[in-house]
Amino acid sequence: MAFEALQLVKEFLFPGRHSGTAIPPLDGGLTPNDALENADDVVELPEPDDVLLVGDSLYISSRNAVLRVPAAGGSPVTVAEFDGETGALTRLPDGQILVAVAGVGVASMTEEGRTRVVLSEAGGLPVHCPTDFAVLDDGSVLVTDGSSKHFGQKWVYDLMERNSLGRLLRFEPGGTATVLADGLAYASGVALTEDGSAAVSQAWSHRISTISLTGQGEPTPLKSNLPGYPGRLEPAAGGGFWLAMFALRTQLVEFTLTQRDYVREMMRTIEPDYWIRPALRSLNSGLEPLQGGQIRKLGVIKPWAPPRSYGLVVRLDADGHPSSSLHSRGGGTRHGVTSVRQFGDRVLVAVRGGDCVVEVNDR
Amino acid sequence: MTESVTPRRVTSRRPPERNVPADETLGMKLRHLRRRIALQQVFAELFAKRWMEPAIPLALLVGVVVFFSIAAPGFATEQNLLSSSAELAELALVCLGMAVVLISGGIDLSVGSMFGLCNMVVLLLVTLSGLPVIAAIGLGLLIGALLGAINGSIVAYLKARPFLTTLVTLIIFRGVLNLLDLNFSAQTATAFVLDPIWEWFSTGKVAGIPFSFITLVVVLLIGHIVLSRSRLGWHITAVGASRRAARHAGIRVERVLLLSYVFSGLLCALAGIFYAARLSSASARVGEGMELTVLTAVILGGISLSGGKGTVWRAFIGAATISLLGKGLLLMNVGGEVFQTVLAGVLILAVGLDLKWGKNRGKAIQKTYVNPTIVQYGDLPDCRPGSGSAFEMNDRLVGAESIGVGKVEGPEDVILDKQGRLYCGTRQGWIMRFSGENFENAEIFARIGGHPLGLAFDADDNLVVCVAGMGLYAVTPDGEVRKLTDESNRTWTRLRDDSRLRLADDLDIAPDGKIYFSEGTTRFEMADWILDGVEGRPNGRLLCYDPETGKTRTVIRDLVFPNGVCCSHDGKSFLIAQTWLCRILRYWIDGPNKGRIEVFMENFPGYLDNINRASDGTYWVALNGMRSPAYDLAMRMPVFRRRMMKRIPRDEWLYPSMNHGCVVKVSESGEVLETLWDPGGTAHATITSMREHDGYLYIGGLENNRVGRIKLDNSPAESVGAGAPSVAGTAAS
Repeated sequence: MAFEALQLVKEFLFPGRHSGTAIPPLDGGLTPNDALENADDVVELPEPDDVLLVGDSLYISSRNAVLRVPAAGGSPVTVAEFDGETGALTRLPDGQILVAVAGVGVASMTEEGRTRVVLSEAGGLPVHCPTDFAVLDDGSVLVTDGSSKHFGQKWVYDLMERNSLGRLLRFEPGGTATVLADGLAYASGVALTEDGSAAVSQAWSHRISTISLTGQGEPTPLKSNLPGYPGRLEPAAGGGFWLAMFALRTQLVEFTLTQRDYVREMMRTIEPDYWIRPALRSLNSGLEPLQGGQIRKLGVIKPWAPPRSYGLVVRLDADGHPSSSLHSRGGGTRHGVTSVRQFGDRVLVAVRGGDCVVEVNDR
Repeated sequence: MTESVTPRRVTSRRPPERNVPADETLGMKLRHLRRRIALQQVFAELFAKRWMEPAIPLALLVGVVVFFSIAAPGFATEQNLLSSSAELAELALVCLGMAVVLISGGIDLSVGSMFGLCNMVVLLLVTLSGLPVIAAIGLGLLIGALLGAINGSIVAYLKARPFLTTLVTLIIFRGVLNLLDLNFSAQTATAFVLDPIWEWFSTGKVAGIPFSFITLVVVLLIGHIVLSRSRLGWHITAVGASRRAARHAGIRVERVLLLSYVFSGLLCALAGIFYAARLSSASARVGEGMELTVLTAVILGGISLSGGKGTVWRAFIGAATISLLGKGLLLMNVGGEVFQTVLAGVLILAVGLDLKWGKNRGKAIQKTYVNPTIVQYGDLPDCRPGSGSAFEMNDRLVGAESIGVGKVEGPEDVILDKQGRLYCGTRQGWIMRFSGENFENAEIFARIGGHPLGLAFDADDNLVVCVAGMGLYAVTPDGEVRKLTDESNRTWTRLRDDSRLRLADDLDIAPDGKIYFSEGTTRFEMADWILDGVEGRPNGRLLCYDPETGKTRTVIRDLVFPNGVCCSHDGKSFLIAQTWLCRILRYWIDGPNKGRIEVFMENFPGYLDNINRASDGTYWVALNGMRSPAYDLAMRMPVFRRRMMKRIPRDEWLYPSMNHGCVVKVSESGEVLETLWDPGGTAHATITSMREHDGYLYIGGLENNRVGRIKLDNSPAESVGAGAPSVAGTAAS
């Protein structure tokens, strides 16, 4: 009783300024717009994770398969199927396509669909959760491994456990892999910088760091305290990067992450779909947690409602500073962007939560 | 499914307070008990009281008394306290005068001079003029008032600055005083007055307490009533808070200002008279520098220098602190400057703390006002498509016709009259009426104010409306609005005054014409109604208005958000939907079980809103939202919710899942018969009401911009929405 009273008196005299978690607002280059929501549809298919343009065909990873679609539009054809969810795609100089397969590792695939696992283990740990590739000039490949514990759809477990189990690996297809950096908070994207080091997204620590390819030296932050969870990085024409921000941070999630007893109970008793979490899509279900600002008023959900899912593509300049962005806001459908790829002057965006691949203009 | 509860012998009954799972452990019971006690709520409500404002000065005063009682021998004796009280009375009267001027937004620096001048004048009158004492005293008061009027007229009518004006009058009055002193004071020294009234003023006691102190108490009481209860007092405060706003409100600012200075002069004169009678000291130095002591005291008491804030008690507390400090120091024989400096430090600290207190109180109350408790639910029924449960989702509401899209905002409840016209409340405080074949003619039927919620027609076709923020109202068929009630008996165990109706929610009319209605919460306003859910405490009640006597009484208190109220088909009981507990209570008003409260149905998958009778002897229940597992979990963890409310802004809080609702049909025996869902929630997100009429079901939503209508299959074409069928039914039987 005395304690409660004392606490209250303290609150009255010196109201607590909780340090809390300051999520930067969306302004400057991140000022919201509806450009992604209004972007041109290229193809609609379930849960596209990454997209690759080879000649006049699009290769798209979707669920457990890689699909091929004519770039001019048409119906998808399955090229190959894998034992796990397919993710990042990249094309090697010799024409082979590398496919990240959750729970398996990295597989190579020819254009006809013959597949072979080329990397499944590195540094004594399995490569369960390959998230992105960057091909070096010497033919070796950088790959980010998100977490050594969770992979695929279970990425949200990794967030809830606040793990830092991600790694940056370098391997020659067919050869062995070396670990360039570990202890990364969900390494979710990689791209080469102009000075020849790797820019790596660390989703759970909301930052992009540069890591030297020599395997020495600590990661140095390029851009920290992003307002969302950064995912795949792609070098942009004219310098800088494209960043796929697969979800935005919300104060509720940031707060919940600090409440370990709640998180434990939540993970123990509730299905992941209905957790307090960032998501790639809103299920529009009453079982999902609702936040104050998300209540539908007079038939409308406000675009500024705290986003459970959000669509965001960011153009970063070479310093990692957002210079422009494309959004699909609250109440929109193109949420959960997992990949942005540039092929010449075409920029393709895989909108996993919106079940489509769209093309945006590179301004 | 039903479980009976024996009512306690209290005037208004209390329901089973929470959902109790069958296999509750002792530890769980203890946790509930721990959370039931809401200390934080007690404190938050206590501190929200206006009379808690001077808490810091009062604490300092108590501290001073306690300190000197221990440290200074002879301080706590009766004799000392009585003699102190006489001195205190004089200081406090002057402080009171200063306080009134400060509250009106001015300042009166001439109090010391007025005090001295009145002291001198009264002494001269008593000793030299030969006037009767009573006349002399009256004249002294008049002079005081006159001096105040001089200040007041210069400030009010010549629009001079109070600070400069009273600084000048300070010097002038002091000059007059010096003149009097020079010419007459020698003669007063030799005169000796032997008059019983004068004696009474100097040494008179009532029950051992000096007359001056008694006078002070009387003046304080009158001052309190004038300042806080009278028109003049409110005008003074209003002028002090914002002169321009006061003028715009039609207050005669000049007159109010003048009066406040007159009060100040009058009180200074009264103090001067007591001083004169007590000490008979006709010196020009009386009251010199007094303005500083008085200002210190008043500011220490917490009266704002910027005006508009303060009470007589604050002035008294400040005066008492200063006066007792002086006395205590004298008794301790400490002339040490160090000690004085320390005291000055204490004063500064007290003033600083009081400032913080005044500044942060509102914010802190806001932050601590919501007090989450444990709310336990049964296992969430699976209502996903394919689950096969009684609540399984369907899309039966997707094809609902829309009525009045964009013309209504927030139709919480809907009702139809005998001619088939549709009525609903809106958040603008209107009752809208739709008529025509497809309800294309919209008109504003009545403008009540507040947010009209529950609707019902009485036997004379008056529309009885629960209006959030206002109370229970009736609208005649001509659209004339009449207040039925806006208050009930106060619950004396609650700190917060709950006699006014804050959130009248839904109503139904019993066969005998009594109107039973629910008040969802007595702690939150309409705009904050969901916060009551985040809190989860029993803050609501069921009330009954008797049209014959015009009296309202609380029937059931301490209900967790009672929302929908519906008289059963046989007219013997009422069904009460409790939103946050996801259950329905049955309260018997007639028959062998009269007075009993039972749980009728429990563990719904969503939050309940209105209940209405269906045409076939069953009931319609609206679910305004669904229970989300994450929120259910948070309801079991009050500490989580409390931290959440403290750390993140309200738009980000975890809320009950209000974007998906449905309509459920339940039988008289408490079984779920059918459900109607709008899974996407695009047309009917939050469903707060439904009304069956002529084979159609009409759907209202608190946050919606339309009323929905859907044709019911195999429903008899009989009106059940209009009027109260149970009334007719019972009357016939």
